[in-house]
Formats: sequence, C-alpha cells, structure tokens
Amino acid sequence: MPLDHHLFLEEIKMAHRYPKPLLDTLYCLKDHIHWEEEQVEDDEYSSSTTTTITNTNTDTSSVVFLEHDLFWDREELSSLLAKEHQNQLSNTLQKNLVLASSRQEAVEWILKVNAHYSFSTLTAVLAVNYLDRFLFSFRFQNDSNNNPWLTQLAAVACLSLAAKVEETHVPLFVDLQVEESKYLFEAKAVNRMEILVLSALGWQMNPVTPLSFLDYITRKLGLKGYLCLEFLRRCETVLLSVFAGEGGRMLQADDGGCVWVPMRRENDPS
Amino acid sequence: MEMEKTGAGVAVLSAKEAFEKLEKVGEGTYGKVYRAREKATGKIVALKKTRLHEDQEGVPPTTLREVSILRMLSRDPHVVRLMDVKQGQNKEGKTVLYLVFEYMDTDLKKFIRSFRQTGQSIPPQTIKSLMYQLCKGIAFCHGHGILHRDLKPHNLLMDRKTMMLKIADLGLARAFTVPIKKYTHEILTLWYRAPEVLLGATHYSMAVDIWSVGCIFAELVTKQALFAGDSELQQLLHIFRLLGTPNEEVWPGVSKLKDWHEYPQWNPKSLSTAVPGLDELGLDLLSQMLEYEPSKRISAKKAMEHAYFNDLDKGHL
Repeated sequence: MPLDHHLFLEEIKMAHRYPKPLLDTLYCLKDHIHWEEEQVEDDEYSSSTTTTITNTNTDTSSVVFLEHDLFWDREELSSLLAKEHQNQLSNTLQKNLVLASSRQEAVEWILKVNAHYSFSTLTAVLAVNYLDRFLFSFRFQNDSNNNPWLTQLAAVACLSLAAKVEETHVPLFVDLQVEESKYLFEAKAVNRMEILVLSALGWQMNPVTPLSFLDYITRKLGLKGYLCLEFLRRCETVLLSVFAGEGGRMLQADDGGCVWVPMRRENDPS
Repeated sequence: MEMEKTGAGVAVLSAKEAFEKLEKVGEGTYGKVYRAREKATGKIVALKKTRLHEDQEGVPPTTLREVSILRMLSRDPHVVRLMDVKQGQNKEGKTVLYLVFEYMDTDLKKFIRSFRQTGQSIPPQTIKSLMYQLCKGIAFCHGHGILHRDLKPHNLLMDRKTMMLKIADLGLARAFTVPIKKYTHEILTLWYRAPEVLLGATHYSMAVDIWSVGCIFAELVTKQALFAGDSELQQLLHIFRLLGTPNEEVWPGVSKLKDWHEYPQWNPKSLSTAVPGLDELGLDLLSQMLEYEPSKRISAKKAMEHAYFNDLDKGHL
C-alpha cells in the first residue's frame, strides 16, 4: 500500500511527545528505507547489507506480519494521544534533588537488569513509566526523603510488574536483583511494594508509551520483515538512550548510510 | 491492611465487610468466584478471589493482565465490567485480592447445554444476535490491541432475560504490539485453538481469536463442539478431516511451522456436512472464520459487516 506522505506528515506533527532526536532519527531512517527498497528491487544485496542482517541475529522468515494486523482503527492515533497522561515528574524532580538522584539510580538499575535478562524494550519502558507515576503519587514523595531505599524497592517492584505484564518468563524476586545495588530486598518486601504500586497506579498497567506511537508509525509506513525490525531496533536504541539520560551522544548506523544526529538531554523521559 | 481510596487517607470497608458472600459459582483462572451482595447498595456482584502468598512471588501475571486490560476495555457493553479491586485479609490473615465484577447469571456453555438437554435447537435469530455481540466485543478488544486468547463458551457470560453476551476471563489476554513477539505456546483451550498455534507458531495474532469465534459459531448451531480433540495431534486431525489437510498451496508457509509433520491426506468436505441447519450466508461467514491462512481469516470488524447479519435488528446491541 502506497504511503500517503501528506497524511503521514500531518499525523507525525500530532505526536508531539516524541523527543526531538527521535523525529530526526525518523527522517534519517526514511532515506535509509528508500535505499533498502532500491536494493530489494534490484534483487542485489551489498555485503554491508548482508552484514547488517546477520548482526541483527533475526530470522526474518519467523516474523509474520498479517495484512490486517497492520491497520487498526482510523481514530487510533487520536485515541493514543487522548489516553496519554501528562508527565509532571520534571517539576517535582527540580524541587527535590534527593528524589531526582535516587530516581536516576533506579532507572539505571532497571535498564541494566533489563539488558541482563534480555527483556524487551517495552518491559523497560513500562517499568520506568510505573516508577515515574508512582514517584509522582502524593504519599511517596514525602516518604522518599527519609528512606532513599524506598525508591530502589519501588524500582524492583516496578520492573517485576512490567516483566509480569510483558514477558513470558519472569525471574523470582531475589533473582531479579542481579545488578549491583546498595540494598537487597526479600520477597516479602517486594510483594508488599507491588501491591502498593498497583494501588497507587489504579492497576492501569498498559499505559500509552512512546512505543505505542512507534507501533502505529511502523504500521502506517507499511514496514515489514527486516525493515520493520531494523526500524524498531534503532528507535528502541534511541529511547533507551533518552531514558538513560545521556546527552550529546553520536550513534553511528551500522551501514554508514545514515549518521544519527547528536542527542540532547531530555527532561521528560516519556 | 485496608486499601485507601484517596491520597487523603480515607479508608473504606474491607472486602469482607463490604460484601456478603451468597454462594460459590465457580473457579476462575487463579481462584474462586462467588456470587455476592454489596451491603451498601444491595447490588449483586461477582467476586473473583485471588490469594497472594506473601512468601512467594507477588501478584500473579494473569491477575495483573486481566485487571489492567479490563481497566482499558470496560466501557464496551460486550466486555464484562470490572467495578473495583479490593484488598483484604482472609481468616488466616493472608492478603487476598477481590475483583468485583458485574454479575451475569449464566454463560454460553450452560446456555448451549440447556438446549442440548431439551433436544431443541437454539433459534436462528438468537444465534445471530449472540454471534453479532461476540464479533462486536472482539472487534472492540482487537481495536484496542488486545488479544483474548482463550475464547470459549465458558468465558462468554450471558444474561438470560436480555440475551446480552459479554466477554470475560481475560487472564490470558495480551496487549498486542508490532512486531508480534514470541508468546507462550500452551495458551488456548484445545477445542478452540487455531491450527497455527497447534502447529507451533508463537508469532500469532488476532486471527487466533477469530478461529475460536468460528468454532463457537458452529457449536451454537449444532450444540456440539466442532473439533473436540483430546490431544494436540487429535485436535489437528479433527480439523484436517473436515477442512482438508493443508498444504503450501492453500496455506503458504504451513510446512515450515515448527510442529509440522507428515499427516494423512484428507480432501476438504463441505462445512454444511458438519454444521447442518446453518444457512448459506452463515456457512459463508463460518468458512471465512475457519480460513487456514491466518492473514486471510476474516477480521471481527469485517465479520460484523457480513451479509449474514443484514436482517438482524442491531439497534439495541
């Protein structure tokens, strides 16, 4: 199905919550996609393309995208935007440097454990979403000043909950705490914190996240097979970098056909 | 421990004090289900009880997914409404979660059984109405990126008076995103399981729910399960005997699925032999729901537009 450029560009403007580097990334990938398509049309593959495919370590034949999976409701984008919640954490963090510091440590810990278990990017995004929403809840802000370990315990609970929502195999609470941390919590404590987090978040554990928009855009672009996976892999890399809070990084694309622009620190992780 | 309703710390009654249990009506995915009365309002509800073992691994994934997904879906009239989640303690002081649902007095399994016992057929217009509601509810779930993955008559609740049908038991439901990820294999109840799942596909999608809908459709007409296998192999053989053994021509890629083997070669039979009493339009819709190739299987939304439903009064559905 041909891409409706005008419609697509109009819709991309509505996705205002994307961090700027991601939009730049999309622009670069667009050029890259055309290049890939030309290669496919010529029925030839350069060695760098072959290398890239190998590097992704993905068997494209196992990826099945059904035509009608690619197109959901027309109101979908506006539905995603309507469901998206304001993230007011930035203001809170500016006033509460202790909380900001422990949140940063907690996010870094989540990303390390996520990588350790090869969880999906969505699991990491969900865990950080839960943590931020929980930190913003009224009661927790006061408690965290006196008990910095509470933020780390919340991080363990949030990652556990995210894994339960999204992964097919969830490690035990104790096994989940694999990366270096000042504290090691027993199962009972994590259990209780899970309930506390769930109550604070109203059990709404499938929030709209940046990946929801990626999902939509991928289907709008009609990307399939390898192109879809490559597109998503790069976007997910950008998202994780933003979450990690690192700024000014250059990311070199594997094939050299596209150089990603320098990134800036984003205040709003989602 | 009592759950606080607001940040201001106003406590509400614990689940035990708020409800009077009337009778146990079933076992859910992870615990018991009770018919109960809310003391404050006199309203009849269904309480689904899940015990949390504090020395174990916390909230079960099935409970977590079910509640979260129902929180997303509860505004559709054809998905069972989750009214509240309450935390309480049982007699031994252990933490218990109660999911508070609207009460529905029967389910499709009991409904079909009651007709089987009397020997009567379910009236065609009743079948049509129930099927339309089912397609509408599933279209709503799929439109929100949710796969049910365990559709069967037992999970479709009904109100006998109004003939309203509601989708329930989303403990195995999944939020669906592209690219489709590897999901666990043993998910759907065997009789309603799509052939691609039986053949080991882990990258499956909305089409698996449509296959289940097709099996339920046939069962409404005949009052017997369409494919009643007692093992995965037998389930496949039941399907192949009716629809023909699939090959690369009718289902490109089938022979590459993980659990594909050599099977006896059957030619397809007419669906009317297995589902006598269903008219031509119904058979056409059913055949599109039981399409082998997942990408060609009809979507729930398209099914609602099928001519089979043209003469149905949809005003109140």
